[in-house]
Amino acid sequence: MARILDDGGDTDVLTGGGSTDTRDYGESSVETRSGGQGGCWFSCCDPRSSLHRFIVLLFMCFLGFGSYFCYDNPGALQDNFMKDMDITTAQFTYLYSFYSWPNVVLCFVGGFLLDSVFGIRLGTVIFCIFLVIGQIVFALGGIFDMFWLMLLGRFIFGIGGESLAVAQNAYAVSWFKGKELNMVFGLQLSFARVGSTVNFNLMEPLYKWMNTSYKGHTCTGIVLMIAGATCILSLFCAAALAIFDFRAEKILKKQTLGSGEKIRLSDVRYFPVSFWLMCGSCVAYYVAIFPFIGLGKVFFIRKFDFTPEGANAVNSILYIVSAVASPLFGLLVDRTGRNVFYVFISILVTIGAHGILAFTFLNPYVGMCIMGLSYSMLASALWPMVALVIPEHQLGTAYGIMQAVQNFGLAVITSVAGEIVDTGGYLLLEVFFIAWLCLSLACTVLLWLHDSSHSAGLLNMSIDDRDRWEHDKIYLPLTTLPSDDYFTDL
Amino acid sequence: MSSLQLLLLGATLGLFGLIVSTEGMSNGRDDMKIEEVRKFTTVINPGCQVRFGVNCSALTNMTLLHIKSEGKTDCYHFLWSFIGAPTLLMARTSLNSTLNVNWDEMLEENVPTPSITFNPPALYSFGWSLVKIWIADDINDVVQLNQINQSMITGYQTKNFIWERFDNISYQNSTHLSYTLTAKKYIHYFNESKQVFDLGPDGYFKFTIRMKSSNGYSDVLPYMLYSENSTQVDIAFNDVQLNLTETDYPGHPRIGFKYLVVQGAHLKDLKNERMRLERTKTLDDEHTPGVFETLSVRTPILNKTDQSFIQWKPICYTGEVRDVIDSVDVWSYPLQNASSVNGDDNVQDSILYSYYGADVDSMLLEAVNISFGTQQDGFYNKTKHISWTYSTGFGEPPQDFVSTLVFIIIGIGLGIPALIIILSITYVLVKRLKQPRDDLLLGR
Repeated sequence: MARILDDGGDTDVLTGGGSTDTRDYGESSVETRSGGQGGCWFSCCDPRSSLHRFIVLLFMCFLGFGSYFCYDNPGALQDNFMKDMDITTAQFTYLYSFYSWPNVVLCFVGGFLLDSVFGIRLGTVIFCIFLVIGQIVFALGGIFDMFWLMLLGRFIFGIGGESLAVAQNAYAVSWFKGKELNMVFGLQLSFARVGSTVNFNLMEPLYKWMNTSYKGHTCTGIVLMIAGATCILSLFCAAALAIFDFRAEKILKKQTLGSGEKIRLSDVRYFPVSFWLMCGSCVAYYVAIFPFIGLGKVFFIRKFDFTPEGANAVNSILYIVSAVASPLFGLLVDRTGRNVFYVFISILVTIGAHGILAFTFLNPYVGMCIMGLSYSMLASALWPMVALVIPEHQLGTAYGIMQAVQNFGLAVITSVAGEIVDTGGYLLLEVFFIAWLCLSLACTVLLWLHDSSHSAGLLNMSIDDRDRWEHDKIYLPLTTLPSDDYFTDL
Repeated sequence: MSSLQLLLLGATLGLFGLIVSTEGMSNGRDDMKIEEVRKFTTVINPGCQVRFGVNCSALTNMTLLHIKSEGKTDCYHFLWSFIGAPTLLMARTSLNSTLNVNWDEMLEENVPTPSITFNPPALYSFGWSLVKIWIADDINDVVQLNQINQSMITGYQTKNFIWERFDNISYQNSTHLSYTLTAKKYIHYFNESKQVFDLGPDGYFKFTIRMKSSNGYSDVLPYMLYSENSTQVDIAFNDVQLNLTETDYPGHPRIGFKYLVVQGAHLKDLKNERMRLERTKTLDDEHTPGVFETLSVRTPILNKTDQSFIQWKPICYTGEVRDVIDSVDVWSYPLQNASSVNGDDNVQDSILYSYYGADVDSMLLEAVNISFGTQQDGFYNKTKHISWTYSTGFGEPPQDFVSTLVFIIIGIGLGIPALIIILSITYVLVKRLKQPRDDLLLGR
């Protein structure tokens, strides 16, 4: 998924902004309970207790569920959409494009809105409202057979969805800063994946069930309306989290704001070449994954003779594998470093996976599983790399830019992918994706090379080497004794 | 960069090289080899002057189209008949062979001796004939004709269509030809009398025959391959209502075609070989987006090289202007035996009977059924239109090949990172070679 900062690994740097003024309800316990405000004294109501925070974590995870569930609704119902709304593949892909367009801008603005305008609590609720309204408008477009209304709905949905990810991360940082944060991010990511998987496996049977009573575009609209229930669930979670947060703030007497992201666009000119190569690598990679999933269902039905439900199951494999593999690979990268190497390998393997799907009739489960593994590996290795080249106080801007560029790429390339299917077929589409992956590979090799020559290969060092390098960078200049110079003269 | 990493990059480079070279080798198809180029000559209604007078070739309500494709050593004949059921008879003869048509006998029904002959006789022959239109009432939307109650299916003989040839939109030269025949009327027989009905207000049943002597893809969906040994047939079935009364018209119509296919080989010579319905999977759907299958009716091979095919993609279009989003499925049913004795098979309706005579029952004669539609497509009524294309000819059916565009993209796609890897390795090695010398100089 484009928007979550996909990594289950080292995320200390993701707390970003380096701002010490984020609320941390986990570790500091400056105020004791003698404050006497706010309700019961049982541990489940104490904002500092693990049980309470676990309950809050549950709400946090489900906060994003609606967004991820509904994001891939079009993909799960592609053949039904195209028949009911009488649209071409190119038009179908606009449903994804229109989701990505608002997020080219919102990746910057979202953090700012949460920090300075609405505050986390209200901001999250507002974004969830956008989510619900967007999905409802989307569904109404189906019921009234107005495709433009569907696109509008997806646009509104997009405004809410991506910003919600920022809010989710902010809540996580606020409640779980410290050692637990990695696990929490990983858990949120896995929940997101599970949401996507459930979508793929649920929507087709739901459609078939509704199809017995309703037909055509009305059926599509009603199914989308039912899917909107998950967005209402998210809204409910947002409200609950707002209450918990408000209460915790009052009890613990913390008075801070902070999404943890500070966006300063002027920082952009200081970003090193490595960052831009990473950006290129990231965009070129993701445009070969998400548009493919969006168009995958009909591909699997037509080429491999799968049933619609079977095709959806194959599509969802990538997400299931990712839910399990992301934390594991995150751990791997945490322990061994060598990020660039892993990125290189994963792009190579993804090329192989697309090749298998395009040029053989091998069971698509094989290709998709491989793709899921390599996708997880890339996410675990790529995003933390940004933190290695960008100073902490600029990380917010850096991630914002990367997300923005990624959304721009997705918005454009998804539509192009739809056109390609209509005019050139699926083989050409796969070749198109492989070409983008090759571009991503080229960026990675350039990054590797650049890094080797300019920063002593930092991005590819093992963790020990990296620690030593950091240590040397700080301390070595201080240990050079003036007497050494005399010896070299001789 | 460590040596291990260099090795990895080198290995990746090697892998790319391997892929590109295998791709290059598989791309070595023989389309550069120029085969004998055949020339087409066309005669309309050959030999009709005896019975119909001097200008009988210009008659547009009677069409027997003789297309001769002359090569260096033999001659292919494509004899199209729209007298009776639409039929194509294909024959391979020696260069000096002539076609003789006895019009009197041919136009009379049930004459068991051949009225169409080649002199000297053909070395090989093959033919097919569209003998029946099936119109089924698909109440339960099961789409496939063999799953619909047989009482809901009515067959209409195609010999009762009245075919008009449109010469103003046909053309022919020695390498390229196209003919269009349209039926707008149908004859219904009641006991002794007959009556001519219009096929619905906008109704027509159109055949377009196209041939090209060069290899290449058609520019009409589904972009089938041309070759000089084959011809492509486009069928458009628009608002065709064959029912006698309003109430007869089914509420959920599905359309099907019945073809007779015959190969000029005696069954006793063939042992157990029969025609087969082949389903080939292709990787490449460039020319028919979303369709990865090709179906063909293949005949046994005679004289080591003679065989024929009818080939189609399982896709048809529900709009006059063919578009991918208007497409529905084409269903093919197992081949069945046929004979002239069986009245339902309507063998006598076509010139296949005029060519083979009663002997046709000892030949390889089979029936193929095709139907059109997809579940929940609104049936034939939604657009009242079906467009379908198939190709038929001598030899093996043309194989789709992956276009050069795909190879170019892959070549460039893999080439760019390969190039960068080469440059990187070179750069690092050069740096390494320089370094030791510098170190020595500086005493490190």
